[in-house]
Amino acid sequence: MLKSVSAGERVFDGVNLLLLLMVGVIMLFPFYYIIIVSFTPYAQYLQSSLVLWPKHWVLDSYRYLLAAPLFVRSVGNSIYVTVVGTFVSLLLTSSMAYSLSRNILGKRVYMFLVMFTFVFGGGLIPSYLVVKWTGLLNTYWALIIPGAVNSFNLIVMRQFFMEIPTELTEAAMIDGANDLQIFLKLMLPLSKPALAAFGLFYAVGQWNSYFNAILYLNNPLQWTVQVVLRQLVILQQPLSLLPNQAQVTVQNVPPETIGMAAILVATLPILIVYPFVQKHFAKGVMVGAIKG
Amino acid sequence: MKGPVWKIAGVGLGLGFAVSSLGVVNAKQRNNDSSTQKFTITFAAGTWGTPPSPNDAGVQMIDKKFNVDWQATFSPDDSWQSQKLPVLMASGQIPDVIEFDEPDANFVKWAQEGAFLPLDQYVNQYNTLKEVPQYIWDGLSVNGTKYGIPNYFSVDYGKQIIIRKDWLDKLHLKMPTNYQQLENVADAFQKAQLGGPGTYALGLATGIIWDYAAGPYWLSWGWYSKNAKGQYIPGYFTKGNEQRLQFLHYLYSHGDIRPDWASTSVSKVQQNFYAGKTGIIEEQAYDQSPSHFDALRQIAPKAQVVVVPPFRAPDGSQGLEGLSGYYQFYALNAQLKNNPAKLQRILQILNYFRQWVPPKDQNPSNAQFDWEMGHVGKGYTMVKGVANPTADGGLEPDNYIGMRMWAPSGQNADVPPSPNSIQQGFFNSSIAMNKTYKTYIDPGNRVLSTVEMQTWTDTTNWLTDQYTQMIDGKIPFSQYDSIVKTGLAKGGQAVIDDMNRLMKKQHIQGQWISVH
Repeated sequence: MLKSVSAGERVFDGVNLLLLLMVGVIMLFPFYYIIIVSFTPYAQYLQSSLVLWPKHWVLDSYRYLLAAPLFVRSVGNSIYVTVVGTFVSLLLTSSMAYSLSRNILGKRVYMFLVMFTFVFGGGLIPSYLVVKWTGLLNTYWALIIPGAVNSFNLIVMRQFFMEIPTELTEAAMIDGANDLQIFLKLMLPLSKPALAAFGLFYAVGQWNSYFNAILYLNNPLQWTVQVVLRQLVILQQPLSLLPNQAQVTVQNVPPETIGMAAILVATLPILIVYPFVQKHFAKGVMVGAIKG
Repeated sequence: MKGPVWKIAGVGLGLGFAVSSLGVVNAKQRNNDSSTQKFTITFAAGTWGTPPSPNDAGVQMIDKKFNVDWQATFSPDDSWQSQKLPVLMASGQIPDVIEFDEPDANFVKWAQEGAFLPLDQYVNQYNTLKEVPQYIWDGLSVNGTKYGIPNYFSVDYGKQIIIRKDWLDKLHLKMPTNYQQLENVADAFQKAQLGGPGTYALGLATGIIWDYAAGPYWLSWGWYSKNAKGQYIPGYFTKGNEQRLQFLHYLYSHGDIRPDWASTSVSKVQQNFYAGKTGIIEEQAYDQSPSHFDALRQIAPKAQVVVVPPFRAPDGSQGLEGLSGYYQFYALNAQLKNNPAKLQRILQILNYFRQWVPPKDQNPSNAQFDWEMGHVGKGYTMVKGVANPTADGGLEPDNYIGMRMWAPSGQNADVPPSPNSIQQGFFNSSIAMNKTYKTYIDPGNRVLSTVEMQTWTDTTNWLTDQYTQMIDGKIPFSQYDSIVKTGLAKGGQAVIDDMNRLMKKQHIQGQWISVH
C-alpha cells in the first residue's frame, strides 16, 4: 500500500539532500582540484589563486611523469608489493586466525603472544636489526614479511571463524576432509566478506608503505610510489624550511602541477580496485562485531 | 781456518743481501698493490631530488677512474638524518662516508664515542681541505678535533631581500635604504597593483619566513648583539628584532602583505612572486635553478629583479650576515684508520670532486669539468654557454659524490651565469652588492652546543608564535620585553649560557671580513 508523502516530509527530504550534496561537494572538491590542476598549464596555475577550469588542457605533467623512469618503476614496485603482500598477509592471517579459533595445543600461549604484540612493539632499531639479520634488507620481502600479520586483524578474523558452527567442520570431517581441506574448501569460501575487508585494509597499507621503504630499501630503483611521490611533493616545499641559508639546487624543479599529477597516479589503483570489492567490504566491515 | 771462515762469511753476506732485497721488493710490491688495489667504498647520503640509479654510467666512470667499487645509497632527505641514519649507526652498519645535512646532537655524541675519524692530520695533505677557513672548521669540530669535511655553500650569497626594480622605476621610487623607506615603497607597490588585482607588496609566509633582516643587527637567528653581561645573544631577544617586527606589523596593518600570511606556505608566497603578483621577497643567488625565473619571464618579460642593499644599523654597522660557509658535510668511518690505503683513496676522490673550476671554464673544453658532468652530449648539454644537466642524473659522476667545488678565497664560486636574463640581472646586482659590503662571520655558526641543538627549537617555536601574533596586532608591542623575558626563562638563557661558554673556551668572537 503506497503511503502518501506530506509536504513537510518532502521539505525535510529536500533539505537533507541539499546538505548531503554540500558535504559531498566539500569532500570531493580536493580531488577535483588535483585532477584539474594536473591538466592545467603551469603559467595559468601560477597566476590564479584557485584554478577551477583550465584555459586549455595540457598533458605536460603526465608526459614528465611517464618520462621519469623512477616514477614509472615505483608504480610497478608498489603494485608488486601490494599484490604479493596482500596475498601473503591474507594467507598468514586467515590460517593463524582459523587455527586459533579451534582448540589447539598451546592456544592460550599463542593468544598471549599475539596480544603482547598488539600492545608492545620492538622499536625501530630492533626491527631493523631483525630484518637485517634475516637477510631481507634491500629486498621487497622487507616490506611484506615484517608486517604480514596485523594483530588486530588476526583477532577480529579469529572471532569470525569462531562464529562458524563447529557442526560444519564435524560434518566435513565425517565426509573424510582433513584440516587443510576444511580450511581451503569450507572456511575460506565462507569468509569472503572478511577476506575482502581485511584484504582491502592490507592492500591500502601496502600501497601507502613509505617509512619501511626508506628504511629497508637503499636502492632507489626499489622505492615505492609513495617515496617517489613524497620526493616530488617535498621538492615543492620551501627549501627555506631547511636551515635558513640552505637551498641547494635541485635542477629543473618540477612545477606543482606535476606533483598533482603524481598524486593522482598514485591514488588511481586504489580507486579502481575499490568498486569491485565494495559489496564484500560493506559486509566484511562488520565482521566480528557483537551480534544480538 | 781462514778459508772456511771467509766462505761462511761470504755465504752469510750473500744470504743477508738476498733477504734484504726480497724485503725491498716485497715492500715495493706492497706499495704498488695498494695503488692498484680496488677498494669497495660505501657512501650514504640524503637527497632532496631524484637519486641516480645504483649502477649507471656515472658511477662506472668513478669506479674506472679511481679503481674503486663506489656504492652510493640515497635516502629521502627529510627523514635521512633524523630517522634512517640513527638506525644505521645503531645497527653497526656504518658506511665509510656518511653525509650529514648539519651538525646535530647525534653527530656530537657519535664523534665523542669514536665513531668518526679525526681529520686534523689529513687537512694539510689535500689542497681543498687546506683552503677551508678556520671559522668553517670550528663548526665541524668536537672538542677541538675536526670530524666533518664541509660541502661548499656560499658565506654571503644566502637569502637576500629582492625587489622588482621595474616597479620602482615605474613609480619613480628610489631603492630604499632603511625600514621606513621600505614601508613607503611597499605602500606604493600595494596602491599601484602593478601585478594586477590581488597583488601584494611583500611576500611573507608562515613562521615569519622570511626574516627581512637588512643586516645582522636585525636578524632573528644571528648572534650579533650582546646583553648587559657581555654575552652574545640571538636576535630573537634584541631591539633590532623588535624594530623588524614593527616593520612587518606596519605592512600587515596597511594591507601590504596577505592577511592570511600566517597560514600561507613559503612555496605559495614564492609562487606569487614568480607569477608577478608580489614585489618584494627574499631569494638567494647561490645554487639557484632558473626554472622559477623562466616562469616569471613568460608572465612579465620586462621584469627586473635586484637585491636591496643592507641598511645602516643604529650601531653604525652595515653589511651582510655571513652564513656558516657550508651546507652538508661528510664524516668518515673511524675504522678507516685501520686501512690507510683505502682512506687515502677516499680522500683523493673527495678532493678531486672539490677541485675548483672557475665559471668561465665550466664547459666541455675543461677536461675535469666535462668528466665530472658525464661528458657533453651525454650527462649535460650547453645552453647559451651554461652547462645544463640532462634528466638522467645517473650519467653524471658528480651525482654519486655530491661534493660541490670548493672555491678558493676571493673566487666567485657562487653565481655562475644564468641562461635566464631576469635571473642574470638579479645575480649581477647581488655580485656587485656583495663586493661592496663586508660580511659578518657569526660566532653562533662556529660552536656546537648540544643544549642549543636539543632545546632551542622549542624556544624559537614559542617565540615565533608570539611574534606572529605581534605582527597581526593581537599582542601589543608594549609586551615585547615581557615576551623576551619569558623566552629566556623557557630555555633561551640556558642556550645563551652554553653557547657563550663554548665561544669563550674556543676564543671565538663575531668578526667582519671581506669575502671578495
